[in-house]
Amino acid sequence: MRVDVRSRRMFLQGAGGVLLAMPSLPSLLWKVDRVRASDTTPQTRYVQWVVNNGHYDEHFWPDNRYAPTEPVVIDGAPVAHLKARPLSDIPGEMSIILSAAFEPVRAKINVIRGLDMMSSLWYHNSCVPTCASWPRKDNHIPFFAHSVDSILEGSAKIYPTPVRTPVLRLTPGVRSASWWGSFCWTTENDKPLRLPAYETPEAAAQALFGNTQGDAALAAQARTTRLVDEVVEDYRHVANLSALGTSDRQLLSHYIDLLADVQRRSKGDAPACSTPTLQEQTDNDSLHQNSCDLAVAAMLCGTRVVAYHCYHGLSEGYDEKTIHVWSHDEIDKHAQTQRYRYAHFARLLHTMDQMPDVDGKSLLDNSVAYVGNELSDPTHAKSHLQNMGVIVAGGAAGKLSTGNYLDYTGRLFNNVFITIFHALGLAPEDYQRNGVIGFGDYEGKKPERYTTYLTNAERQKPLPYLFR
Amino acid sequence: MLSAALSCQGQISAPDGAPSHRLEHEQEAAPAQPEPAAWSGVWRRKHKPTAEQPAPQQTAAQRFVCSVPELRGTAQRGARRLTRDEYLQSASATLGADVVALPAVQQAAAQIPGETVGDITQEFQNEHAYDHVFGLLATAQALAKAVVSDPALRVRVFGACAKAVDQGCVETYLAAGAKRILKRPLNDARRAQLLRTFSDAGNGEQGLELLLSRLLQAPEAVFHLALPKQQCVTAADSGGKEFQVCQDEPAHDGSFAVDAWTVAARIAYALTGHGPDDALLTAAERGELGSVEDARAHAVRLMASPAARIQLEAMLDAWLDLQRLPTPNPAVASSLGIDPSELATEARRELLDFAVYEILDRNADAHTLMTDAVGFPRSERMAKLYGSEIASGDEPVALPHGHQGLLVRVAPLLSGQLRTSPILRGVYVRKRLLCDALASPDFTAVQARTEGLTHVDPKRLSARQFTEQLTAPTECMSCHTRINPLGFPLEGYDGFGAARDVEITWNADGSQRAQHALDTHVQEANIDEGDTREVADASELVQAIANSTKYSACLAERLYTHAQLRPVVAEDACALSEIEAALRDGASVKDAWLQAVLNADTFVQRAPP
Repeated sequence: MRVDVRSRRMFLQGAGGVLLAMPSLPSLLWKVDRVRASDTTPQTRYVQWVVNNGHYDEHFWPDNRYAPTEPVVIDGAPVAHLKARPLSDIPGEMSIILSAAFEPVRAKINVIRGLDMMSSLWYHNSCVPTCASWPRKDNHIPFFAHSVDSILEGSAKIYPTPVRTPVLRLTPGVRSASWWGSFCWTTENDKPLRLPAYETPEAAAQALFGNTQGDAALAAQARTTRLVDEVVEDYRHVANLSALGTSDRQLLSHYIDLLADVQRRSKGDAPACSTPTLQEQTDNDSLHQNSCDLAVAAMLCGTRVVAYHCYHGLSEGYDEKTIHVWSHDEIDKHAQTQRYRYAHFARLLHTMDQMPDVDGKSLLDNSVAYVGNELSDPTHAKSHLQNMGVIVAGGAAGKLSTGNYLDYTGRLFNNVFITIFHALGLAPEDYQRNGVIGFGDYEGKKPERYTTYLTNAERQKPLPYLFR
Repeated sequence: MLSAALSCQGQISAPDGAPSHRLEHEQEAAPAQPEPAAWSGVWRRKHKPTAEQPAPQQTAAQRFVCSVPELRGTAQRGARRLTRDEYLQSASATLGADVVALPAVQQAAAQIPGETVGDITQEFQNEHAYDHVFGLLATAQALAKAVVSDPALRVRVFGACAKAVDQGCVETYLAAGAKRILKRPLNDARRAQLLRTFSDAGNGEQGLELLLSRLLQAPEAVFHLALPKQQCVTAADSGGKEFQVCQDEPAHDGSFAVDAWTVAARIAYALTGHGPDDALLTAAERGELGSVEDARAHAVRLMASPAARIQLEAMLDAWLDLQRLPTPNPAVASSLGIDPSELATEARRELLDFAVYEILDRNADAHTLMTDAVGFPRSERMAKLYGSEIASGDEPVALPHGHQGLLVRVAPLLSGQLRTSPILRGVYVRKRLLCDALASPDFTAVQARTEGLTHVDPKRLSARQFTEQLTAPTECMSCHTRINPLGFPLEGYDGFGAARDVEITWNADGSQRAQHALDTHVQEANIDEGDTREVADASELVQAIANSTKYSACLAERLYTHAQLRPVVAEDACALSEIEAALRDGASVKDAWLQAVLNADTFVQRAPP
């Protein structure tokens, strides 16, 4: 669907479109006037939610009494390395971290255990939960610097035509160049590039919705197009100076490419919504509520990918060093910080589930929402990056099963991302990078444990049963 | 669990770990061989130098040695992007701080990603992402609109002729004024292009706005560019009209001499965080920045500006990790009657006030910066922690309880835990004040050790006793001999940085659990390799640090690399050896900072192959 600003404006005036009323939620103080698209085929959206510092088994996983025990049978045969159990079997809160906040959406999530990352070192990671890749030095820089969000951002299957904001990256309240950053990476000129995220919902709202409607927007677009043309001329002039070395030229050349992106996106589909109104922010709760609501608004209005790193662990204040110390020394407090983070994720899912999409199903039903942690074991010790804590929520428009506690012990974590790519309609040629078959790192200790799943064919397979 | 947290603390801020291009002599030293038991104790107590005495290592070789002088300066980037702060500070300097403060400009500028609040020299990425480019575009447009739409601002930026915008006014601006934004003059071809921008947009305000938007995004405005000196000759066309033909001066030994505009920008950004001012641009135009001696007066002038104080604070923030200080434990704070809210912010401010006073106002040398027992507690809370009076003006107050220098003050001693951590403090000293790399521990070994101590209740032991038990195995001590001795002497100060006579162990609810006697004495400070100095307490520790080879080298490294926004590499060794030598000879830190910014490297750039 291609809607230009002028025709959409007419739609909004009631000249032929039907306004889709948003459910009235007390927490949604913003108002989205969205036009029902003539195409009722939903687009699958992707939410990537990341937390840090790992989790202790007793805090994250449901009680062992409710562990999956039944082998899954597909086409009459049990599937290797897969057991399942309905999440509805678990009474009360699923775990300390997976709190009652998940109750409204428990049937629409999967709690997944047993997946391992192969690795040889025990550092913290800025890309394990998004690239399936670990750093070779203690510097957070991944070996395979392509996160799922950046792959989707550049995919013509996700965005056949440009949109203004293909990925909404958020690290609410925290400068994304700090600590783990946004967990979003790409590779430019053969070097890893950490992608920034918006620190405030206000800045994100401006980028998403600012000046996109009406004649003023058209005039601004024309000005920007002209300006970029001229600025590119300046960059070409400087990039051709003989005194500059190869890396400097690459840098300037990349800048020119990004200017061209600005131009493309400014001419692309503007968000089909009015600018949301954010509620007053008084603490971390309202900051994340605003950010999550903005993420939902973005997904309803043309942005298909959201990457969110929730750093906070309490309603008030933020002190990463202390939070880190808790992850080792005061594990009950650590559990509470993770509970806080996952509760906001649950709230996001709940909001998505209340938003009808173009086909009448909920936004969550038509999305893949994934949450991952940069570590499994907070002590980085024997079980480092083993049994990664994963939740995959949403039905991906019928491509994913939901409501299960799945145990894939013996399989590789990388295949979560293959599953996500499949759910979003991407083929190996769309997501494979750096000559790697599959996605991410396949280097690390004890490869013999995963022999079955290290073949090229298995690397490209989505997780069975989770992917229908 | 304690050791796991402490030992891996460095990883959370992993980019402050080892730079990817460590110099050879900075590699982790092999653990010292243990001496025979008979040598320990008495002999050392009798014969070891005390901390106050200059240590033998002071006469040892410098950390940095200029062994390949032809490489000096060649690691500097030819194109380095401006940070958000640099871009906005430059806009403030050229257009006015009031313009940058306008809500529309701020709203646009918020879309430019900011840099890390941690160690920018280690974490800065030179590449732009889409959001940078989009944010810069939006900001340039907002700035241009604000300036052009306000007649008074228009006149301020473009001159009196801008009351009525016309081509003549724009020509004048492009010939003279635009270099404040671009940091260099435009050649004829670029000037003609820009003039066309103005005229094609219909002249008038619309043309002027587009022109200014373009200038504010030009590569010269968004990047630091290092360009070569030009050789120009006068030629004449067939009609006898003279014109200049310029070409780059040839490179020698892989380097070229940069032009005066590059020199001006390097000095200005390093010392003020924004582009060159008019005086510096004029000096560049006159060719008065050809040598260190030529440029020194300008550098000294800039160092006296308010912007230099802010820039120095940014360097200290990055070096000492002051923007990521922990918040003290609220339960313990409540028991002690201290309000913990914003204490980290106030402590950071106090340290910055102290350091900037010492460096810029007092012209202190490195030793004094590490040892001077004065401070700037501005509140009752801070004065209580220091046991001092409140500082009310520009002069510091004396700190009577041993607080001194960069280390023994509230900010670096703050802890968010229930108790102090000798390991965290030791790691801080080792990595921050001595610029040593510390390898990450094997966490499997850490876990095994932790599990082996499950019978020990850490709260029944002093922090030191528990640390000693935890790190006792040989495989732990290969690193912890370099960590623990730097943390134990600081046990005389609690997690709020206040002096204490006894260590109190707290319960999680803030009630007292136990008290322990303090032991701040260490047999071997082990600051420099093979350093056998004995240290009795924090005061002796800071003396030992101040006298150490590593501290002056570290200070030199941090002053230099902050100007470069990158970790140290081998090509920096010549400049660093000079700065280090100056600091060891007692030069002021201010002079060393000047030297870090203005040295032979400032005038050269690696030539493309």
